[in-house]
Amino acid sequence: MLAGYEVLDARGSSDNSLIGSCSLDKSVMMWNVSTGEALRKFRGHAARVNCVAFNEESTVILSGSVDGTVRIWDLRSRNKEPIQVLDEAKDAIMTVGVSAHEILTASLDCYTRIYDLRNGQLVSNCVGESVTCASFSGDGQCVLTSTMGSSVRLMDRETGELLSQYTGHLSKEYKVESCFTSSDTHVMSGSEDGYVYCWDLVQASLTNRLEHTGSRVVHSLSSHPSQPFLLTASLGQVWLWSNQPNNTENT
Amino acid sequence: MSDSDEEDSAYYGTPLEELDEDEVRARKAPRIEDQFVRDKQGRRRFHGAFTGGFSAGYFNSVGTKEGWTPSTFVSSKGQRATNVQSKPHDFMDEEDMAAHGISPQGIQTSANFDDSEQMKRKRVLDPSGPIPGTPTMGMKLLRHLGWRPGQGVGPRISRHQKRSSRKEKERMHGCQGPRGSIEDSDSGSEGDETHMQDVTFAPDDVDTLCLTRPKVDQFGLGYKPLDRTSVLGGHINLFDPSPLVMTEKKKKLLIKGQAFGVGAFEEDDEDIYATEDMSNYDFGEERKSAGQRGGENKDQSVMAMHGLVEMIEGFRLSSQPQHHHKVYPAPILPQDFLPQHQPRRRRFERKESEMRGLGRHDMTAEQRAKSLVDQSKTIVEVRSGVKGEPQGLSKCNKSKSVENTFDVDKIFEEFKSSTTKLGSDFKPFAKDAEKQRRYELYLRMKERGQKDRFYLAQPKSMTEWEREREIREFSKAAKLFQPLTSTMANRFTSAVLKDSGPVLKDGLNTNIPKVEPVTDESEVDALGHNVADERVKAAKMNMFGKLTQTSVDWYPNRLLCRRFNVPDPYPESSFVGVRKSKREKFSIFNLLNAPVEDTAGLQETSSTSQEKEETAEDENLVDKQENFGLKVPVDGPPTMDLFKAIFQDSESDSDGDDEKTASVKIKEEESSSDDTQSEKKNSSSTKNSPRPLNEHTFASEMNFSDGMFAATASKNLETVKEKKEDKEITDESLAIKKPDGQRVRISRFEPKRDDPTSQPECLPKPVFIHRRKDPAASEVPPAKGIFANIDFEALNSYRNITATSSQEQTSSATENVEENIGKNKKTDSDSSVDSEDEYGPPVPVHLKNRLQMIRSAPPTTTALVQKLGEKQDTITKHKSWVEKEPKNKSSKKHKHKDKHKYKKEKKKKKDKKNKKHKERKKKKEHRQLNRKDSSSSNSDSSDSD
Repeated sequence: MLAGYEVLDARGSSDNSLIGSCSLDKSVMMWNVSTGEALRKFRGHAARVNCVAFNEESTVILSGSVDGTVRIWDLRSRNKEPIQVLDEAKDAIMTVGVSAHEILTASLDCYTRIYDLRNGQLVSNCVGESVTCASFSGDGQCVLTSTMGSSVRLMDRETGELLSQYTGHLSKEYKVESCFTSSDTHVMSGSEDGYVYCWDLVQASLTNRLEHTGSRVVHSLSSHPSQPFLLTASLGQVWLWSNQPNNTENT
Repeated sequence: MSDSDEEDSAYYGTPLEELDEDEVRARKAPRIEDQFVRDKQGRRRFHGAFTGGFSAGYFNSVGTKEGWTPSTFVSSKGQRATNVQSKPHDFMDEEDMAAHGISPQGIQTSANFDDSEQMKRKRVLDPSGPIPGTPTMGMKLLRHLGWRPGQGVGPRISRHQKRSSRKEKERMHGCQGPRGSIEDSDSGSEGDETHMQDVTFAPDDVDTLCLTRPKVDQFGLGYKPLDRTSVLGGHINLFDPSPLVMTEKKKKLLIKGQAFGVGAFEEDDEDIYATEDMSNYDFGEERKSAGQRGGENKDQSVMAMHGLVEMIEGFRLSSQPQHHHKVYPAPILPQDFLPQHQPRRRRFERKESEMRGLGRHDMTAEQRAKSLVDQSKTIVEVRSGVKGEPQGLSKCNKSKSVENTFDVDKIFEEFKSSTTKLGSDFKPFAKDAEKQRRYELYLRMKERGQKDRFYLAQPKSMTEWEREREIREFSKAAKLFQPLTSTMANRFTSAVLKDSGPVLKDGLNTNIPKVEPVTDESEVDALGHNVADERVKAAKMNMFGKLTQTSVDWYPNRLLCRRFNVPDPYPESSFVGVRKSKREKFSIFNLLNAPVEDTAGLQETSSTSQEKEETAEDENLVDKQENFGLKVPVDGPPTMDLFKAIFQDSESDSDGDDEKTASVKIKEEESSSDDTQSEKKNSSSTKNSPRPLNEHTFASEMNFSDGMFAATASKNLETVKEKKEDKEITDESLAIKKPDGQRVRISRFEPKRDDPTSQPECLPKPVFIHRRKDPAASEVPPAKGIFANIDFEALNSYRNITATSSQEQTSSATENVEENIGKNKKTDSDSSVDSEDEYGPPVPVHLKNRLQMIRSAPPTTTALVQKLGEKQDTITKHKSWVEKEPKNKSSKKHKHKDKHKYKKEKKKKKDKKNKKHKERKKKKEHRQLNRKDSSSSNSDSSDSD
């Protein structure tokens, strides 16, 4: 079942039948959830693949790689070649986000790029620092970008203007992710000091710090799409947080 | 049918086959026409009607469809016709040659060499062992250890032990071992066993396994099936004269095999089943044994010699000794022999070391590391503008060889200081220091276009051919490694954050200094500023928005659109991706549009109805400007300064200025009041508003036009006080303007004037001068179609300049310009302070920023005016640079003229400076006033403050 190399990112499809994973061996793998067998393997990236993302209907899978390209693979056909290669980025793609008709990429070349399929526009925003993570807000009007300069910025999707900035955490070496909470009231970000920082979206004030005892870096996190749960990953550990006082931990 | 008959008669021809009576004749004899005559070789020789036929020649001898064509006599100067004598055998069949005694002409292998078996390589059979080659390496080793052929391997044993082990073996095999003879010979001398106690023997050799009776059937081991032959009685000797052989009447009657019953020819009624004649039995064994007893013994001994226990049935040992193949010893290898195939090399083929060329394959890791470090150093040196010689070169200089003569060094010296970066940072010929040095020289020479002189630098010891080849090699290397860097450079950007990863202590990157970021050439605007840098700078200042956002057309794949359930945005194009060649569509107007709307809305809320009209007019004005046909897309995106001018200026005096122009506009539209002052203002405003547009539309000429604009503007200052010198000044400006005699048109509506001195006053003057609307103009029927919106009068207004009004206009214009300069100086500094302030605590920043943006974003005209001021400002800042050139030029020009003028010019400049100071002071006052005005009018912004 396992790929031969370190898996860097994995996503589940919308119907929960597929898992797309990407790994250090420059390939994107599709897994059947029920049987656990590998269905397909997409090759084409020139370097390790950092992130994958499905579109809303899970008809394509997007993969962003250190080679600076996003490749869009078709899942409906048996085509082994990517449908399209987005090679505008000049440095590694860290995250790929997909909304209904937009593709959001965050690259280390200090840019976030929004590919608007409906309008046929590519809007690139310079953030000034290497972007490690970018995600759409729930309403799709804002983009949350984490940069390696230890700051999280909330930008307007249309104009690219800075709406808010969240600082206090530490992000200088790792691919530290950030996310909105399910209700879009708070912004969460991992940190390299073993905490998860939680800011109020509007006030931009630090409201909470979730301590991960015994772990140095919290690099990845994602919130439940509808309920107040947060799943975080520190080195070698996965933590599940809820707003109830007890939290569970899986190692 | 007797024998005698046969002997008497003679037969001719071949007898017909005897026909069997039973056999039915199956086929008819072929008809005559179907029968063909063939010769011995099976070829048809006769064709056509009877024997010959016209095609006989073709089929028989000529071999062409056309038949035999006589050879035509052809003879040329170059190729003389030879007298060809035909011989009879040219016309003969090959098989007839021998019959006529003509020896075969072809080359054949003679019978000696024809044997195909001879061609086969014989298998080398070595009699001494299963492994070919004597002695084998194993044998050699064993012999070194004291082994002799015929002995066994292992520790030596005593005689007693040997004997017991042999007995053991006998018991196991059930028969005597092959070496029984030895024991037999030894057995007699048991008595002296005691004497030989300390004598040890080598153990017996391992018995060679010999299968006496190889199993040929497929039955199980030990199973003996029923013998089929026994049914018909055992052995029948067919070779001995059998009793059944009879002779009768000279004829031999031979009955073979077994017959049943009694034959008719047998006399006795023998019971052939019952009686077994002993003659039927083969007693050969006994006979043989009787005759060959001595031989058998010999066989035994031979068998023993060969280690055979028993003969295979039906075989016996050959009497002749086995033929020994002659085995030749292998040739002795020479000492320096390498077991590696080396192809024969031709004289002109390049050596392997040369084929490699770049010599980096056989460098050690250390060498490579060293060269890498060296390279990085040289890169930095060159890039940082220090024109020191690259390290590699200096190293080469140290290891100067004898063949470098003085003049060669001179050449090297001459080309040592290279102004531009070397094309390739690495050293392809690092192995050969001299060659690398020459290569670098070659690159520099190529850079300067003096490649022809390169041969001077090549050492004298090189042959002509070598030199040529080296040059070719260099050119190839230069070609090979230069474009790569440029193409790859496009794919990379410099890191923004310093790489804080672990630094290898003794690896390659210990002392690689930080390299300055390489600018991305694709994003450099007309003024040479790096747009990407500007964007990063803007982002650093938290000025996100217009400055950091870029938008380009992106063509998604059709299939991708279908997968996303989105209609294809570009259904008619099959292009996919982003068009690389297309430059960013970045015209000044798409910058201007957004702020106009914002401010219009703001003003509406805070101003009176009249002001509403003004803003409407303002927009109108913008529209008009656009409709003037001036909307030429700017080649590159504008600079940071421009952005600052538009967005950062928080002062409201520009608004005031704008109001002024707007109000003036209204007045002129109404054409109600015609006082002179308004006219002045009109002129100034109209002058200022279109000017910057012009300037930015010709962005490519920016540098130059800036310079001259500044010059003209500064000259204008003087016109206020020194009207007398006006003419001279304009002359001056002209001189500055066209240093190389080329006239630059500011606007494309400006008429071409070949003679600049004819209308000197016009130059510093505005291009557009408002013309009051007179009834005559209104009588002109309104334009239709695409010209409907164009104000032709305004366009043509510059033609209506009158000499009288020009003075006033210029003075007012200069005032205006001066104001702008002063203002912008102030605002510029203010803005810079602001921006620094902004980079403070994060929370209020964006709010402040946005507010400032909204507040400061002025209507277009003011932006333009300010921009104009900004431009001038920047120019005045770089005054030394701007003025230097004209000074030089003018000095050249005025060489033959009087020096007086030159001095005057200097003086003027001084005056100018003083003037500026004064003006600035004035401006400050003016600005404060304006500020008050604006604060009253723009309540929104003042509240926020």
